[in-house]
Amino acid sequence: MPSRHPQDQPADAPSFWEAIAQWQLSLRTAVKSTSSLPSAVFHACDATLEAQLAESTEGMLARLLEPPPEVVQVHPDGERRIESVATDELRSLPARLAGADGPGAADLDDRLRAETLAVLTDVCCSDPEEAARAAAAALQRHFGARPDDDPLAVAGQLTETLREAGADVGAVEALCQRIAAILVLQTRAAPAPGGDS
Amino acid sequence: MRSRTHTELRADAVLAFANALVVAALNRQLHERDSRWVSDALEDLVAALKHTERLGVEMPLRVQCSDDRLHHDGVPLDGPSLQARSLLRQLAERRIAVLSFWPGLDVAEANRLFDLLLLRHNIDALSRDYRDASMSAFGIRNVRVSLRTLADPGDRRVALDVASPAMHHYQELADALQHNHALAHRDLELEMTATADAVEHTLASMDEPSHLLALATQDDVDRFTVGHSVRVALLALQVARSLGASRSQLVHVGSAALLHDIGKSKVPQDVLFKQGRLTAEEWHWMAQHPRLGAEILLEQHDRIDPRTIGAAFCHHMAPNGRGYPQASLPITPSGTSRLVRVCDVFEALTSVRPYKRALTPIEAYAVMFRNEQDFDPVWLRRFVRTLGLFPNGTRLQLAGGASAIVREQTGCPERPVVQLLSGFDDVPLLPDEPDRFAIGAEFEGRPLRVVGVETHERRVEVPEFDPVAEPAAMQHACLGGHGLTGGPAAPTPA
Repeated sequence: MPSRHPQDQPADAPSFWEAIAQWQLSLRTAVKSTSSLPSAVFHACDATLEAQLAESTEGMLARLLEPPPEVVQVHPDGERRIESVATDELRSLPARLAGADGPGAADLDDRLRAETLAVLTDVCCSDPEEAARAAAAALQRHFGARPDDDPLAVAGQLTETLREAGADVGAVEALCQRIAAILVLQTRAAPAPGGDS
Repeated sequence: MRSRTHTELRADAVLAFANALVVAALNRQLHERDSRWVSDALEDLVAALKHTERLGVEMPLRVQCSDDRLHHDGVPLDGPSLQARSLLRQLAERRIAVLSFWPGLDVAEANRLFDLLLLRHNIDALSRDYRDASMSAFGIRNVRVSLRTLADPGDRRVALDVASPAMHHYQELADALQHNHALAHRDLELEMTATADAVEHTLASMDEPSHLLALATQDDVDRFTVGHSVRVALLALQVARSLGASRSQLVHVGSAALLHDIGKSKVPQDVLFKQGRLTAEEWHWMAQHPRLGAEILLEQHDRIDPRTIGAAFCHHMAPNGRGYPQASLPITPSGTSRLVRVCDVFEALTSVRPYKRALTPIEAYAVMFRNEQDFDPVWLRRFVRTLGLFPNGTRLQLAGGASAIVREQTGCPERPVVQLLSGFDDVPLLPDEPDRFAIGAEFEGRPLRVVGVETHERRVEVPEFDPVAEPAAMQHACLGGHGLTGGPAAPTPA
């Protein structure tokens, strides 16, 4: 994807230099059309003077204007809804908070590989080709799987690992994930781009 | 409910105008200048200006600009300023001190004003040499720009601004995220380094993280879910930090939380901001935003951390995988995704939206425990214990007519350390009288007990809590952690 700052505007975005030039031209044209004097006579004139005078006048008028009574009328502020919470729910909060947490401790990386595999698989099989290709590449990267890997050979490794006494659960899980990743990659019609290993 | 005074109504109207100004600027940066989104935002801006005029706010309406905040009459407009960093930077680069708006402003003129305020190639247009000519050339008659020079009285009207770190960090994160949303919307490469840097900077001085919670009660001025995502990131960082996570883990978690809604940049905005019930087709679009987010992140040339991709995809999933999107494989969300989900829901419940009021944190917890199966119990409890039932900064009504503000959490979520604002029967404290106590401690012979939580718009009654069968470890944390239950708290730095 190209990298571009979002504030870079299309070519038709107005530039103040061009706008000033156009404005000066318009002014001179207007002066020329309403006066027989040469336009150079007016160059020393402050063209913003009229605008400033108008602004000052408007400002003074605005101060004199009082708002009509109907618009300063106070409206009851009760339109937005709010979820209702029963007193009993508040009363029991500390007790519920002190209850059992359930299995496991708070671990930020808990189930991370399994989640990654599932998300990449989902995107790998989804429609946008660019995202699917990227997901396939990420599957290769994260799980060490390639489309030309033989899932049966990896399954053999898995069997061997399981046969070993005290097989490492992490190793078994990693092999299962690798097999799953290989199958996903092989199921995908388009090959993943090179460059990621 | 008490009727609002005219003064309050005028202040609300000014705030609404500043919000509209920030939203219009954001829209101009995100969309083409003649798009419907820009014209809608500009119409809101013009309408807000006219409303302030009708309410009798002095015209021209002067919005003062310091580096970190917008002001009116020297009063900081904190709500809109949260999202205004990008606009404020443009104004600062142009040395603008005050923007004065007259009620004759219309949509086309406002759009031309933003040409001068936001476009890079017009950065010199408002310098002293060219300002008047530029304003005339762009046909801007209802806005006056005052520059930050000694010769310009506008400069001295800006209040001296001592920006709080919370505001600064919030703005930095918001700016990074706004920028990324704009890039994602245009199918451009995200700036992940800037995102990680913003998280890093936030971590560097996040000593009083709970102050950030106060920002969550500000009106939501953004149209791009930016404020929400920033607050979710700040909450997730607090919880992760309480676990003793490493610095790199914190950056991963912060980035994951910050970008969890990046997929919304691809959802049609009339669906995203619809306030009524969604049709089936609209809901289909909305339910795709987690998958769209994962796709956006995967398409980046830079490799994105899998936690970020996972959180984008899984933040609407319960621990058992229930929720959306429907995935082709059963998913058990990772720890990071489960934490982001808790923070996401809590933030949504405690924030103001156009269609709903903000719940107080304790009410939000009650709602979340009501639907406990939707959250990982470990992360839900860890979250509440980290923030406390009454997070720092919460204003409390105590039994006996005393009032207090929460200053510090203890190991016991319902017994924070508070600073008394007044004694029993609302009697002022003596100047040298100790004012910091843990809830449950005795003050003037009576235990301090919470009976209510106050926000700027309402008061929530807090009943006496059910007794807790505390395990030994918790008793230790409650009673021994701070040594506060029997007397005044040790003074803590402000």
